[in-house]
Amino acid sequence: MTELLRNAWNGWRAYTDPGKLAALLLISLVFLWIYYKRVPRKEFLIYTTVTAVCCIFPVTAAALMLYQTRFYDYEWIWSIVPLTAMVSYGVVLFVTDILKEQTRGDRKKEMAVVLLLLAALALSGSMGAEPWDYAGEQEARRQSEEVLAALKERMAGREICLWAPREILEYARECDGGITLLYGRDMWEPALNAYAYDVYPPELTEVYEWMEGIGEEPVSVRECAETVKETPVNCILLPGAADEETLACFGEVMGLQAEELGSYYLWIR
Amino acid sequence: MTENYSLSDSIATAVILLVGTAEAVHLYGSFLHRPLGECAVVFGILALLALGALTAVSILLEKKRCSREGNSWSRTEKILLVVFMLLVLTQLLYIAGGKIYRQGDMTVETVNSFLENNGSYQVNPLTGRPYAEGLPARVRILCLPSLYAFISSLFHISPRLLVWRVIPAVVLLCCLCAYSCLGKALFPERRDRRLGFLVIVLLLLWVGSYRYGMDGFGVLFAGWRGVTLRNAILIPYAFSLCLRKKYLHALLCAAAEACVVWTFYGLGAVLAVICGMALTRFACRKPAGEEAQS
Repeated sequence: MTELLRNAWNGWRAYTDPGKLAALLLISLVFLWIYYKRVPRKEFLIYTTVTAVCCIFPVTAAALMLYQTRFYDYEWIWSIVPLTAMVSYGVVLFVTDILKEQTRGDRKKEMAVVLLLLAALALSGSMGAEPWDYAGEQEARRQSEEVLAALKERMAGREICLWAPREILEYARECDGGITLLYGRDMWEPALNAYAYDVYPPELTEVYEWMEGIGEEPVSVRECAETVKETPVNCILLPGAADEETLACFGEVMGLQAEELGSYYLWIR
Repeated sequence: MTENYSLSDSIATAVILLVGTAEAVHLYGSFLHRPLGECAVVFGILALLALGALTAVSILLEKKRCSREGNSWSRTEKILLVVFMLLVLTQLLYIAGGKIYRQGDMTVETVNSFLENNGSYQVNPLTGRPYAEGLPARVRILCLPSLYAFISSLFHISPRLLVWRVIPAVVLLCCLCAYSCLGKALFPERRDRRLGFLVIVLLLLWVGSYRYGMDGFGVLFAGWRGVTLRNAILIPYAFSLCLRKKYLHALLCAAAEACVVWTFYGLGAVLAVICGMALTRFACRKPAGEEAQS
């Protein structure tokens, strides 16, 4: 329970750190409560206030997280709060009702306030700037597609069961549904494990760790090659940076010569 | 009873109908092990029938509505309409640019697997190899990948183009219809306010693209996901229906959510919204005497 409460509180902090929409909601709610009598849809205001408070207060937030089941993170409890709609509602009521009254028909003053308000809104978020390395991802996808296209050409219509570095496997199945993989994205994206009961056997995890150069006690090249030899994999791609010993060992275990494919070494079984 | 339904209602309802049809055909295909090609044709026929019936009803209602309301637009309304159209256009162009957030999602791989194997969930979408232990039943009954596979199969569109570009653009437009319905429920008498409301909604979608989980992020970067359909279309539409006391219709939104979002084994967000709005309305009701006076 303590962990759930901590998650709820940390979730709220993370929710409000990068942008200010949650703050805009609170401002909007305060404004609408001040002018409560003029709000035509009071039930909408009350509902939003109650749910927003429930999402902020850790105990109720934790209860909502339990309701939506622990599969979803904190931010999804905010689905029940009409954040976008309530901020828009507040802005429209302010501009068309309160502002008109305060400026007493002075159009210039009215326009100035509206423009300032829109500028304040625009400064509260990212205005479409993607909050992750999209350009890097696009470049990685392009390179992966190039390698996969070359591989398909080399295989000339044969079925492909591929073992390759993560940067290739990441995009292989979205690029071509006919390519099968030794392991998929769920190996490094744990969230995707929820969509199947399947779990990878430890030896495949070790093979993945060897390929990516991670893990505390990596298996030897020979063990790795022997494990892969036992699988249905018929295409093996190793990065061009692989050393002579690795190439020699794979060649020996597979009984095949490596070919070059772009910046990778390829073995076809 | 039907007089405060509009074209936006029809479009939002069409989304629910399509999801319902896709769910029925998906279950038919999954549990009777029918090939995807056959299911796509069945889906196409049923969807055409459902949308045809909805269109006929909508045209009838729209004729009545136009004759009552009139069509004169003030200068402010015209300006707001132009701003609204410009914002929609910029967002559509942005979505067409194909900036997608794929982390934690495997829709394209799933659609590719369905098309490749001519059936749903024959193989693990992430590896293309048969499942060793299977998948949760609650995931298996979700219909979105099947819906996209049906459309992809019927119109011969590549899954990547369909899922990452076409669907998000359609979702944005349907999202605006849902917010338009909400605008009508909030400002039933004032078209200028409704247009202003939609303009601010569009602006907030831009603003709210800074974080995963925000409405803007979902619409602009992940429009094909079930959670985006829920948060951008089903929930705003459910709010509008609750404000108009159309609770039965709102329950359709909850049913649609169950078909597109893995709520694990929970009841989902739309049902919570409907119950919350119903309770708030009940708590806010005026005593009978007071209501008569006002």
